[in-house]
Amino acid sequence: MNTSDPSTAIVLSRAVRAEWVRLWTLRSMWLLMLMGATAIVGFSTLLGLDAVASSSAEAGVAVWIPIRRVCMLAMLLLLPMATVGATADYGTGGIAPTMQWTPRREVLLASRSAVVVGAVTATALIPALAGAALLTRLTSTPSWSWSAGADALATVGFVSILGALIAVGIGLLLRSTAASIGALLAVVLVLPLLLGNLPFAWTKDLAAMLPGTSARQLLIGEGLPGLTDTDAQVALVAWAVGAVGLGAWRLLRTDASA
Amino acid sequence: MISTRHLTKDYGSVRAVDDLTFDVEPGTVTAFLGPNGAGKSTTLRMLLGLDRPTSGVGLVGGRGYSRMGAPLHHVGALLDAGAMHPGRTGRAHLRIAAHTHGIPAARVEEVLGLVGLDAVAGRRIKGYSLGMRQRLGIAAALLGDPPVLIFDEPLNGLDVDGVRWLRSSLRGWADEGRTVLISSHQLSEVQSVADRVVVISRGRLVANVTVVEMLRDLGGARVRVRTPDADVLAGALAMSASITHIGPDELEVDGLSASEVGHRARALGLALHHLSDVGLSLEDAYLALTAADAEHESGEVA
Repeated sequence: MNTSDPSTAIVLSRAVRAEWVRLWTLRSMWLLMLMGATAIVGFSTLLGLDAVASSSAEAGVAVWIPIRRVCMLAMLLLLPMATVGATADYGTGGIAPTMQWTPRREVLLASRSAVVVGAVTATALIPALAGAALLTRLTSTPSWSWSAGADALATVGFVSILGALIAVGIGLLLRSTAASIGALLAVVLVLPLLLGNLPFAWTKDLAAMLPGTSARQLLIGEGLPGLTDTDAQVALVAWAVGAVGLGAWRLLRTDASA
Repeated sequence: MISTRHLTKDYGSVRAVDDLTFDVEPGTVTAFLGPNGAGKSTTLRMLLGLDRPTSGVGLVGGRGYSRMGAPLHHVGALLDAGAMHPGRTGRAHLRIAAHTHGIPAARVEEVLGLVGLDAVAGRRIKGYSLGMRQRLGIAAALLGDPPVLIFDEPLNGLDVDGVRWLRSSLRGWADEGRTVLISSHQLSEVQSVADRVVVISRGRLVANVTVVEMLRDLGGARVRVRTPDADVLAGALAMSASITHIGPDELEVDGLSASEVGHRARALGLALHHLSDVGLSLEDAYLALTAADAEHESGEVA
């Protein structure tokens, strides 16, 4: 019977390892990762062949344009993946053993967020890089633009990290996979399109603050008229901080299955 | 050792656990009993940091569970055998637990063997019976070799072999010096293994005694006797015992031993067709204690 208590750093590193095992032993996670990766590589190749040929930009820069557009679409698979990662054990009641094994809830919050965000970001970046490499080869582009590539990958990474944090926060707040995916799709897809296209200034102002509009602005430069990249970055960070804050409050302050 | 001090939990206007104070000592099996809705599971959830007390504290080994860095080395617990992801294998479920504590994979295999699940550990949990899930939950509780074990209804769904194994294991763990707390409605099994009984009803402590004390408090031993001269025997015993007519030729005698009843009958020259002690059960004692407070008492069958 060993009764010594490890340091917080060790507890956190163990929790991260356990969260990773928890994630990769879920078949739905693999399915969503596979679908996301395939969508990014496949669609960037399909769309990219025409886009590179018809683009006025230099070919080395042009290969990254479809990548950014396809990553915008892939968020519709990757963000639900983050939600599943955050909420799967609420649906099965498995949150009780999870919290029995990691009762320090701030450690659970940190480890779950880190693993889910890492998985989502890797599932966006690695296929994006692969898609760009494949497109470069297929279009016989002599070399790609490193600066355009770095900019595209940094933007995809930024949107993935903050999008996944918003998904984790909403998931921990609502504690239901279906409700969380519904809420996420509302703020990422439905409300930005709806409010942004209504003929009122105030609905457009509201749409400009939604994370879907911000992601669209950053990835493909088609947010809303007058919206800058800085506005979009600030809005995304604010959403991530707010969502994780609310999710953390629910996790840290209320009963495990309340 | 497990301790609760003035532990209280409110859900809105409903008080689920009310000022509960008790200790569970090492080296004993303590049964935690109460009717449905009495607050047993809520108490256990608060002890394990899953639910937050409205007031009071629940401590394990003098510490609050929710601040433990390696709780599986302090407390092993099974609260709900259904609370597992059905898509994972039994082995994966335990490996997640093991990773949270840096417990080697060999220990996972060891506890799988201990609960008899080694042959099915690679199967998905959705294919497990309730009894197999119970065994898996018990395996998870044993993973860190803890000095305190807490089981909520561990006998549910277990087959005869499983019940026998768990009964002897509970006794063995207590004899090793561990603190064992089990909640169960299977009182005959509890009686055979428990040293002490903590009974709650409507969230309040009703009894915290040894099993022997609980049975003794129910009243003296009773004797069942069958004779064709039941009325004659009843008349002879009435001065020194309380007599209940069970049937036309059968009596239950409260206050005399079987040998005393036998001697009296012989002295009167009465033929006895049956004479036996009526064993007192924990179930009788429990029902007597909780009858007034039971929230979900069953009605009579018409």
